[in-house]
Amino acid sequence: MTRHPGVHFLLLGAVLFGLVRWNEGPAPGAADASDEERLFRAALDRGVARADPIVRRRLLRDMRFLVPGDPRDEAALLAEAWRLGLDRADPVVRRRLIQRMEFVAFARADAREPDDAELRAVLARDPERWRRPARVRLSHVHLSRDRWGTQLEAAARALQARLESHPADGAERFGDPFLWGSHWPLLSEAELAARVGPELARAAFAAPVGRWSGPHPSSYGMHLVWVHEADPAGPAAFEDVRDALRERVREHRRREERTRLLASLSAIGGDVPR
Amino acid sequence: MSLRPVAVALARCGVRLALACLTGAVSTGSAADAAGARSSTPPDVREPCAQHDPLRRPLFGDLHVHTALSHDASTQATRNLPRDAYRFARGEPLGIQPYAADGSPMRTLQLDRPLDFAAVTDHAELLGEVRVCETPGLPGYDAWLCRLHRRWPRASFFLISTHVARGTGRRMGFCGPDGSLCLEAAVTPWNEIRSAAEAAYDRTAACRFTSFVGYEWTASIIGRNLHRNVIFRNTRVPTLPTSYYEATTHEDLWADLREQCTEADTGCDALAIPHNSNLSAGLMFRLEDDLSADQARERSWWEPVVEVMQHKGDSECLWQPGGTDEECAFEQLPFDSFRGKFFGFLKHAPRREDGVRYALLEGLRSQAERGANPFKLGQVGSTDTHLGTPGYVDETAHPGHGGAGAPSPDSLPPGLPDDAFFNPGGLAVVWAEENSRDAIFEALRRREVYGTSGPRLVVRLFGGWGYPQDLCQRADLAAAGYAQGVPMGGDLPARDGERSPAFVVSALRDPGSGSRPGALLERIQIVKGWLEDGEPREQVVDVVGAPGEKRDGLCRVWRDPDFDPAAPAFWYARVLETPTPRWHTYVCRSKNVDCDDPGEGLEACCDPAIPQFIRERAWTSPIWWTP
Repeated sequence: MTRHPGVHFLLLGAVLFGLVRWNEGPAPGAADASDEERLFRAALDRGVARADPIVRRRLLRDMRFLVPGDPRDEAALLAEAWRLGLDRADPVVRRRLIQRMEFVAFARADAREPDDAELRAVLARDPERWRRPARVRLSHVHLSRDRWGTQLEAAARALQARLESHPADGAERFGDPFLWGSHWPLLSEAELAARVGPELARAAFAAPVGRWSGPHPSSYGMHLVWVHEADPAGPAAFEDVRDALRERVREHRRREERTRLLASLSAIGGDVPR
Repeated sequence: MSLRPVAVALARCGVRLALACLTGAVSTGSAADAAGARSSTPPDVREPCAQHDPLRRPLFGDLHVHTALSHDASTQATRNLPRDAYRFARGEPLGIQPYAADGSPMRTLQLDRPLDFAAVTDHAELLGEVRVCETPGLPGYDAWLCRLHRRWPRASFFLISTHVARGTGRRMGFCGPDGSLCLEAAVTPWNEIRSAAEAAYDRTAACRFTSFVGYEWTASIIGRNLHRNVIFRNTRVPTLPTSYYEATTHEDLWADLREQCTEADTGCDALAIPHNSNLSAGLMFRLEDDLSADQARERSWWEPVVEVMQHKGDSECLWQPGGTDEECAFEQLPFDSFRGKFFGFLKHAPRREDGVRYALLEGLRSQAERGANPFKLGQVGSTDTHLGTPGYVDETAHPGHGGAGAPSPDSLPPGLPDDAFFNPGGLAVVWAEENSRDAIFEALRRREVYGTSGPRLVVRLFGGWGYPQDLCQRADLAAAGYAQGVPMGGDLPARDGERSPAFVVSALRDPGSGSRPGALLERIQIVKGWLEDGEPREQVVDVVGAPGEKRDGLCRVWRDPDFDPAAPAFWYARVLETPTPRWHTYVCRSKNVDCDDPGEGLEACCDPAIPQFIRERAWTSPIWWTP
């Protein structure tokens, strides 16, 4: 492979290119160019635009807008677009080329799947981030503010007395119906809040297990609550967060690869070898 | 089977391979055919959800989301990619434009409550990519396998699959000696969308979040909008999205989806959601006179739901002076297409025939005349965000549709962050047994869905013949609703004796979040449409609540007193909240606008045509009666 004339040609070309660039110094304005500007310039320098069908399509559209009815074929129109430098002026082309460069970095980042050992190490480094939230399983009896109005609190106290010796099963018949039902599976505080509002959700997580508590106010009135089971917050099971860990690693690698790509552009004065 | 679909399919074959075309043409077809293909869809592989409720629960989502992969979003300085959009939907904070010189975002948004599901639907038109085998002039285009791919795609698919399965680790020859040509082709926006959806989907038993692979087919005829969002049921999706370049009509879009998805024997399944009929200048719901019953059924199969509300307005019913339904005057755009937005001489008032209600009525007429209803449409809302921020519908802090409608890489333009007649968008709500792709997709398919203009209010609608009058006072409303009738999106069963149909509708207000209380409910209306002597009629009835009322919940068993068993009909519920400030009112207040001199970009604060207060709402899917 190393004897292949093409390799020699490329190596020699790279050395000459580097010498010429070194002699020229940084391109004007390159030092303070934004990341996006550098990616854009690099894409142009690499000729990405000429091979990209979206860019070609966009430039053809630009040309047909600029010169309606131009009878030339697509190749001629594209040649004219390049000559006019439309690829440098069109914002869609610009965004597309920046994305193409970013995707090259992302592809490098995604090329190798992290193994379980790597993922477990990520979990071990920041177990708090991956903690499983606390959850409760409860039944409740609802008294509607719409129905009871100013009598709501009195009705809730009467309900509390009535339920004192009654189990959770079937207790809903002493209250008003609730569209979400009365017996719920294990829910986190956020999930509970989505059903009844944050106030009752907070109260349910402070309630004792195995007996009635309340009355507690909610977005809809008052509730007597029976918590059947409280599942405390705890460390996440690896299997449950494996996908999320993998995504975390991927994001981290993508950022690194993008930074590396940008550094490689900076290292040679804001430009890149073709 | 009529000859027309075959002719259409054959005509499309001009650029296609004979074998594939014949396959598509022969099986072009009826809804029954399509349903047959669907029934073979295997369930998605995942852990069973710990929460599975046979009586279903409401899941809140957004099925219309753009990221930097959409050219219009990226040119408005959006940098967020699909992965970012899904993270945002799951509750994480996300930076948006403008960006400082060091690349850090100058604004950060976060949902006060995560969504249950979302689909990133970037425009397919500029998602197209380097297709090594399909781009003349690219290295590799003339390789023998690429020629095979162009002539016999299935054969090349087989060959390539076999090659991959051999696990040699080497790429096919046309990828170049180091595989770089194909590596580059693989790192495309479409793959990014697919992998982001896969990464966001919670396949554990917790079932916290569901993502869908999707795209927007952005058809437009001289500025008249015919857009659809295509939503895929699972990971088995076509190699590339179908754009307006490949399919210039919705029939062509469906044909492509049949060929590459539902009839590809891969387990792929899809549906399309039309949106912004309010911007179609009369085209979205126009039916050809020679439309066949099969074609009508096909439309209804591919498009079971419509997006009734989003950033660019409400499409339920288009308000016109003299109209009888005052509540149609809600988030209306002042023109009937984008050509009217940009060119004053082409501006035309909103058209009644662009409303979803008009389509529902035309659907009844089609049912009577053709024996099939092409517009059996369930209703959802979504945002159409171009910031990559699904579900961000907060009226108190609307960041704008995109970069305030103009490129804004460095700073925000002065004044309002959006055109004053746009809005923060709505949400899609589905009644599903669990938060999984299969359960949500099935809910969309059977139309057991509703849309909201943003709030997370909960509404159930059942229709039947024998519901007891006291059902609202009973705890088993949902069980009885299903047992004795059908939920929203369904068809009334055969008539029971001489009775009129009864509808039970029950709604709970948005419970609010820690940072924002939910508004109260004012009333529930039933919107009825029917045919009388072949002509469409409509009526809106306040069935519970009244203007000025303030309630946490509303419920009513309502029996239609004017039911005519010989007339096809539909009924849907519209739930109205009490009036709250519209998004621009918050901005105008915060800037202490003086209407003698409102200031640059704030003129709309003093425009009497833009209401200061609105009634946020929900629209259920209809229930239909077919004699």
